[in-house]
Amino acid sequence: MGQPVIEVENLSKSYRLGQIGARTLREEVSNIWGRVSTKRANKIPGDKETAKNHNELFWALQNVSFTLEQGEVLGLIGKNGAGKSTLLKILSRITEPTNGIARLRGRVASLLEVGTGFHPDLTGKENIYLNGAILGMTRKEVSQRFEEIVDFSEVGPFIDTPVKRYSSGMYVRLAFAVAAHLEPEILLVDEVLAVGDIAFQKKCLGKIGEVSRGEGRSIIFVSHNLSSIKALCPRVLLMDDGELACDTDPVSAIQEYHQRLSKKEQGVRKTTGNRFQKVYLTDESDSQLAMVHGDQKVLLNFDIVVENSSSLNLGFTIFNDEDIGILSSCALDSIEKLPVGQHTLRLALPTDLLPSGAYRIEGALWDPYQVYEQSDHLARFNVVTENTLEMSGFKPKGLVMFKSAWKLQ
Amino acid sequence: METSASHYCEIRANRSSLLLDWREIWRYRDLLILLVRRDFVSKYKQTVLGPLWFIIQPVIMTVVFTLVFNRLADLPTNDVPPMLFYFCGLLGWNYFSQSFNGIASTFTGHANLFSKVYFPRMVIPLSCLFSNLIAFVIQLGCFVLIYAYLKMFSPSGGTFGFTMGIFLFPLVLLQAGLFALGVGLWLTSLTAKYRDLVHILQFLTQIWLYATPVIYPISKIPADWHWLFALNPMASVVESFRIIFLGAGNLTPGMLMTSIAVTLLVLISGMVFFNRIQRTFIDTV
Repeated sequence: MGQPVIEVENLSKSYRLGQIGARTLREEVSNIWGRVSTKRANKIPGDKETAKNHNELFWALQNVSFTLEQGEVLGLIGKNGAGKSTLLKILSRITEPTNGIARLRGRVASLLEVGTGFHPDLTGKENIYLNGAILGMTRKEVSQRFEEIVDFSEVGPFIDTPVKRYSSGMYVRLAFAVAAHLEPEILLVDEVLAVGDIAFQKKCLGKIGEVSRGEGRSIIFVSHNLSSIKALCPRVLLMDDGELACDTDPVSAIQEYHQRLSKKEQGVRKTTGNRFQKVYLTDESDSQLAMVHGDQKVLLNFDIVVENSSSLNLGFTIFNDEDIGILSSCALDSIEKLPVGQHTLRLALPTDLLPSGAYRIEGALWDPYQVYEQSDHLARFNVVTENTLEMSGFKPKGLVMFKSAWKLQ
Repeated sequence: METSASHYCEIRANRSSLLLDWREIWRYRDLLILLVRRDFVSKYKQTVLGPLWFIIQPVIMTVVFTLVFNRLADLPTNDVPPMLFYFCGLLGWNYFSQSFNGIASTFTGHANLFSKVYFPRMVIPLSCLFSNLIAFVIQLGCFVLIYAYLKMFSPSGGTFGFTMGIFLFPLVLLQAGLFALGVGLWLTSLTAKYRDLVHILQFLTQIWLYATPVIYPISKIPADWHWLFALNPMASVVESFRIIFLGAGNLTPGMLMTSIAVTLLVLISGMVFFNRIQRTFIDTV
């Protein structure tokens, strides 16, 4: 043991904004011509501006440092553009950092996409070998695992058919089967599990988990699917604007992630008039929650300030991650009046209705004459439930689940 | 821990290694073989004539050259049957031009692959060189058949014959391959920056063909201009092929030396340039 498998020190990566996208010879020539001619003639004001833009640096990654021990599974979360993929690309040697060092001890395989390098004209079998080689396996290693890969992919009878005749599901399954049988010391996985049907995703997740537990393999796992992050990774890095925001256990990291998200989304809060102060979930003992578990009793809290209006009302809707409104409710349906002052409005959330997933709360304060405040992102939360449908790997087709007592007659 | 130690890797900006990590390329030899296979197989899958296509192209070119340049334009062929003269010239030329054209699209043709997975990028140009070698061997086989037929059944059979230089043939082929690699690496590195060059490639190949003694013997060129041909290593390669197989051609030691020097210069500078571009190519896609 001893030395960590991955050591990352002050890793940074910048992009020159003007250089993203291919440059053509014409641009280059006109650039040079532009420089020459602006020296001679008077500068056009607009020109200076574009020249400045060309040199502007965008830091996709800034001073990221961490270490990873052998056998550790590290989750990497953050919103789009936070630098997760850039970090993974540098660690998998697809591109170089601008500053900093990363030391990797062991064979690295990166899965930034499944089916990289698949050739449509080649058969399933030929593609298994080709894809395996691209991912860094030797021919011998692929041969040893060939049967296993075919079994895992469930495309057995079609293994000698060109993959262009495969259905997209078969294609993905075959591609993932190859990837799942890589045996590197370090595995870097990007959002590749988003493809394929849910049952197969579960199978792959299971395989990855098994691999890391069984053989002391180190994994860095990027996903937007917070529940799979939570299930797989005992340690999570949160990235924000190219920087490392925190390095901690999954529950706190996810909580921090939600807090940062809602902070960004809320922007500047209103400071006068009728307004929301804070919206959050608590359990019965009043501690805040970001993650809601199955049959937990959960309270939804609205801290508001009321300065005027006799008929002020508060309403909200809970949206699921596909942006479909699921539940709505209004305060004046059960309260007679919101008096002037600072209040906390509280109601029990019917969490048993919600399938697992990410939710956001949209809400407004209004009276019959005007809307005082409206926000799309008052709060976010995740639900992890245990129902027999989801446990067997399916997603409910209904927007809500109800567990009314079944009776056998 | 032994495997881990051998896989230690340090990632930092501007790794200054100018030359290639051949050990790493060796580790990826299976990928190289599979890529060669993929190139070869995918070229003739779903075609009726299959691998015959590798022969049809040079045969048709030879016939066209014979009709146009020998019969119509009356260019001399060093007293060798024109069919053999042109085919022999095309052997070396085709290997070179197919290879450097293939290598020239290393970056543009594999941008998606390069953005998703790491392997030594040099594997792609090398695989191109090897898959064209297969085509070359097939064409060589066809050439030998025509050669044997003419030698035995045609009255001109006595005008040509291979020389002892045939033992040097692999070296000449190696020079053609290395030069194609050098030129291809230059072109692909330049196209990674300037896409315009994609359009120039076709003209370049065409013009280069005429600047190389494929359709005419070098003896037709005034001696004052031979230095220019010395700077084009393909001139010496094509001429060497003719000397080796047909016993007809002119090549001075000075010309040969210059062509080898130019080959090495283009190859090494091409590798350095390629190495520099490949490190951050993905950022410019």
